[in-house]
Amino acid sequence: MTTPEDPVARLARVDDTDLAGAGSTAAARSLLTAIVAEPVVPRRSRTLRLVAAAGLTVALAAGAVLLGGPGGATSYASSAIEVRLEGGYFVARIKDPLAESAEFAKAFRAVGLDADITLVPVSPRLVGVMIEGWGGGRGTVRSSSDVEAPPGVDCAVRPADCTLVLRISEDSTGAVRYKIGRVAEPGEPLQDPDTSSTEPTSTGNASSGGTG
Amino acid sequence: MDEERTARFEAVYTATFAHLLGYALRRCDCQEDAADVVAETFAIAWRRLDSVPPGDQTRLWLYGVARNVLANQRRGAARRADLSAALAAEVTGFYEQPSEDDAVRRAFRTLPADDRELLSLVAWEGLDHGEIAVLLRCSRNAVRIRLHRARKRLNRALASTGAGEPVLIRRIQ
Repeated sequence: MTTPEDPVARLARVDDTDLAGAGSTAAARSLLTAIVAEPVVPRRSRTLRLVAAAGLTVALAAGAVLLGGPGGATSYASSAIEVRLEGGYFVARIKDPLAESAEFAKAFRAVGLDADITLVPVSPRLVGVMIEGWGGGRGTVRSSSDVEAPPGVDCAVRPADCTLVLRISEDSTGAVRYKIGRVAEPGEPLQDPDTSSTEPTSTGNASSGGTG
Repeated sequence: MDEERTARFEAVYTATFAHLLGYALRRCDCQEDAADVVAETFAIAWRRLDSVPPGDQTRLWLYGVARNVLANQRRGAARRADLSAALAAEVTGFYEQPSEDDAVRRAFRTLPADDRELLSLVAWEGLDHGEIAVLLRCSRNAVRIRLHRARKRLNRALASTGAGEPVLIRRIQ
């Protein structure tokens, strides 16, 4: 039977049958070996999502935040961000990933957190991942970042439809600075971390700040 | 546990490699991009192995990821040069095709990207409505309607470039 897309079929430069055995070539096996050598980071981890999967290690941490600002606010919402206290964590959901960092800092300040986050355009696999972290002062900051999917959405396939979420423990003390991956805009240069090194980055030394 | 995971991934990789490479080669303008799409898609599959469905659905899931990787690549994503350079070198030959069907290619390129992908999934990957619905995460009926419209637009484009006689769409519903 003739269909309108029959001429389109002829545009295909290769048929899958022409590629039989392609998965067994030396190049394909090398690629397989390289991929399975990459560490696996649980998708829904409630702990810190490091960029270890990309071959980069970032030690986040230890900083020290004093909670409970003068006003004692436990929630904040704007067009850019929403912060709520949920189960011992301040949970920040980014409503506008392209908003100014100052908008996010203002929200955290409102609930008594000294947190400064910068969202940078990255490859889909790094969306929601903390790329850099820094904590100052004494004490421990328990934090995590992730993406939340609406019903029926797979964030690996449609990251732009998912919401970036940052959790910072209520009992944290100190100041923190995080850089987190977001979906890139069309044509926007990516800021994926350099994965050529497995050495921790210099920003990751905050773990020496103690555990308060 | 790790060995089990690796073995399962290897089985997925081996069973779907040719399909995924074909998908990428048919859509990318150069072999380097195609190899990157393959490498990045399988890297995502490795990390999300628990989400990869079994059986026939595996290929559709990978197509869905590859589609997203392609979209991001077109926005300037960095290449996994370290992983895919050798693979790119192996598939160079597929980019030395004669330039016949230029009128069809011109007509095809005038279509919206969603139409092109839908028609490609039928014409190149040989998927049916149900499979496309799984891949695009929409209903079969939505696929049927969108495909009908895409075919109409393709017919018009082919006619306007003189690439072919319009085909009666009603016959193929």
